[in-house]
Amino acid sequence: MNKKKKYWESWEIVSIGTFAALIRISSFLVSITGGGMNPVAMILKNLIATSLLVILLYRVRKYGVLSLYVLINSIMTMVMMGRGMMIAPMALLAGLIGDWLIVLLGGYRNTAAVLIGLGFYETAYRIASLGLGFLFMRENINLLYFAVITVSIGYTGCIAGIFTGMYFSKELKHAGIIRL
Amino acid sequence: MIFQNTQGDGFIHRVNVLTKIILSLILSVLIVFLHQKESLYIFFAASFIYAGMLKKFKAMFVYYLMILVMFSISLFFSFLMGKIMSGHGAGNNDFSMLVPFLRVSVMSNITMVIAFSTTMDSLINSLKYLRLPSFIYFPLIVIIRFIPSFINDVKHIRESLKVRNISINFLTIIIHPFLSVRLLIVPAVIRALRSSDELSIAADIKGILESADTGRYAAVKPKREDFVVGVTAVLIIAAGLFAERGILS
Amino acid sequence: MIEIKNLSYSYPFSDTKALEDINLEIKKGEAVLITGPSGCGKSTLSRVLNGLIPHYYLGDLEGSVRVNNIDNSERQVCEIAKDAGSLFQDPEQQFFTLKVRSELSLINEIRGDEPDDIKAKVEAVSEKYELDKVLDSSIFTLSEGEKQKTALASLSLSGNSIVVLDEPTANLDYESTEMLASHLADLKKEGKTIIVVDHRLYWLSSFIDTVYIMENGQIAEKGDFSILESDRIVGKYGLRQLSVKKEFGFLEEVSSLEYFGAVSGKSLAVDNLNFKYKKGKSVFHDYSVRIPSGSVCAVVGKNGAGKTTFAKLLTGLLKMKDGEIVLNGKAEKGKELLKKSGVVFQNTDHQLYMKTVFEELTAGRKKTTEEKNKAEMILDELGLTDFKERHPQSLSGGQKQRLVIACSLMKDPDILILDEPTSGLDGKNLSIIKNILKKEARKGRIILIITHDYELIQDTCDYKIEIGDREETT
Repeated sequence: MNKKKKYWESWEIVSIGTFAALIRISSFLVSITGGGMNPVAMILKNLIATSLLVILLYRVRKYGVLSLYVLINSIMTMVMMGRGMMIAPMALLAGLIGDWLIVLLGGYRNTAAVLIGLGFYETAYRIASLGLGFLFMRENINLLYFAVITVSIGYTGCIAGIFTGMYFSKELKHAGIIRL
Repeated sequence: MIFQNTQGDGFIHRVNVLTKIILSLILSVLIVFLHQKESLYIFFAASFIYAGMLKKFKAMFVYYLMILVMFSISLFFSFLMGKIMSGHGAGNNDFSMLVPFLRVSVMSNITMVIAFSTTMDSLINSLKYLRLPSFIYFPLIVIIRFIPSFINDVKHIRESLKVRNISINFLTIIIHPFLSVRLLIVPAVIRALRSSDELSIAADIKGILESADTGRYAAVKPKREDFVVGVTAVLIIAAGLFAERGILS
Repeated sequence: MIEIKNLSYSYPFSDTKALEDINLEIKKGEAVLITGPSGCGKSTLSRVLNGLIPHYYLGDLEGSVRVNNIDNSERQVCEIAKDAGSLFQDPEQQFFTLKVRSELSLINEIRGDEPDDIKAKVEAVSEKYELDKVLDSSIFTLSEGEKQKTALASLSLSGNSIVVLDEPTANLDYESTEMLASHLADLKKEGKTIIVVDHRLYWLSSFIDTVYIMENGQIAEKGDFSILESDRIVGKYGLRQLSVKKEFGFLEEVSSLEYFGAVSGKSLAVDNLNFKYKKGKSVFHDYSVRIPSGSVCAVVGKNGAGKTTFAKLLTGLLKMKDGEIVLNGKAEKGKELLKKSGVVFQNTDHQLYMKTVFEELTAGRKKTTEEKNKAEMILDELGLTDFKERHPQSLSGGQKQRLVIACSLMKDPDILILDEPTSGLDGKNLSIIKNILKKEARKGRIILIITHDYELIQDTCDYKIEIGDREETT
């Protein structure tokens, strides 16, 4: 009865789905309770989302986890919020390169590798967003100032989130909650 | 819009979600290259009617209000930065404002249709038709399954915090940022980890991922409505491109 | 049939053996109970039977487990599951879809059956398990009993010859438990092999043939159901009781008490309470009740009757539409009420946030010496001092339950409400909780327990409040 083993095990796929749902809900709730546009809510939203993503990477240590998360998240965002259609291909590319960087630099057990890979993804994703903004607003480039400010605020939260995510991952591993 | 799970039965609701997604992808590329008033007007009008077919005029109003607010704030910053940098406000003609606005509006119209006429369920059924690998649609099934559970969990967590006289608000986040982040993250993660463990055990036991043919029962095939939308879209795109080129030549 | 030979197992990164030298044979059509104190290895044994060990939980496994003459190591979990199906404590966590009908058809869809066949099978099984009325309901609106029935129906659709149940009654009320027992007895008559892993024993006498009591990963006792009647065995392994009182006639109804009666004039009085959820039916209509302090009071009633709503109204978590709550002679509302009350919810996952047990107690409170001493004292009283520096999530179920009680005691509440504080606890942990509650009542607190645990009610409660047969619609 030896079937060919699939690349993704069920618990890995379920984890990716669960975390995608959790990240979406927490971002949504922080946005609505925090008033959406204030800097604190923007930082917090990104911080929590990235922290949860780091925990996912610590749990599912397999090449492609970041890319698959990005793909699933893009589909979900598109259907639920009607957003992110144009950014999706670029986000996916950034995710693939992020995954690749992590593997190249020592794998998902290596803290520095995860930090750099995820850092790359988040940075590339935001640059892509701004690039897209540029394409949309190139006739009146001054309109981009506001986008740059909001993206930068979000980015700050996101970079902080990588570190808080690592902190909580270690804590949960210590408590025996994270598998492996 | 989010977490909506009712599907209407109008024409636009019967169009397959994949048709809408493909249309949106084509337009998202196209819209970037268009920069003539006439072609953008055509796309704006067509997409406005397309969104109007949802008959959710209140939601459309809110959408446009949001776009206007964002543009106003952007304008304000643009004016401010212009003042700071060169001593005078951003002096642009009306049209340089209009083009970005039209582009954003067209895309909003198109994606609004996806958001308001698609349930995750119908998306999954369409994905099944494409015979996409299980690692793509299975996480989507998990998402549908967990969103209501997590909303419930969040309610319980908030109540538990309330009982302990702990509240998370703007002020507490500023005063105790680390504690606030912990209170938001830890219980949510614990729930997510536990839920995903239990569900993946159930997946293993039921052999869900082992089955090669999960898609038979409820797959959705393209219908007449998809062809109507497809053909109309091609005609409008042709007209739009003609308008753009007509002006170029 | 099942054959286990020389089985030993340890979880990853664990030095101790969770199972040690297990040998047992379960015949076709036999109904077996595996019980024992928390951490004895009984759940681990059930995971070995359904193949989750070693396929899902890694670790070191020695010896052999054969299900229907095939070694588990030769098959994947889903193939073992075709012979041995599993039912768990919280069936909701195992549902993939949001509707009962789709959940029931899932297993046959996976197997590639024709849509018409699937429909017919689903309808037949829903009739058998009395699920026809809820077939198109959301899984979130089902009662615990209906959830368990849905899981059992889904299991019976997969046509297994063996059914493994891990603590299936932890969330069930008395009626649903009886119902489960009768379904299992039917399955046994159909020739199926039944393996139940549970702390609760009172519901099993009608169909269990063989009892295995485990301790420290080994089988310590084996016999027929009557071995559980021995006081020596119950005492030695800290087991739960063999029979419980089904009715609460022995408890006095609180409404029969005099206003401000019993203990030193202190009491909780609810006068003409009115409450309904938005878009829902009325849950309480002109409801009045008096509860004396210094007592433990059971809040009983069917699932959905409004017990949890009642708790939330008493503590100010929900706003009443109309009425008055008088605590120790003073009318209280909202925030004031919340300050004076503690609530311990059923799921500890939602209630633990911090890095250590001690920090958990002091979270959100002033960092004074007085507060710290108070935390130390409460930890000591609840037997948690040794775990002070441990991560709350690394504690056992019983310890976590005590920790959340400790957290609510930090407020020194006048009212303490506990929602199902003992589900899933063994006899020893149950009696620890019983003692804590009695002790806290003696300090003059008003303690209310919402529970289906009849052992807890009969040994701990002085009074009862019966919440009527109202529909709670959220």
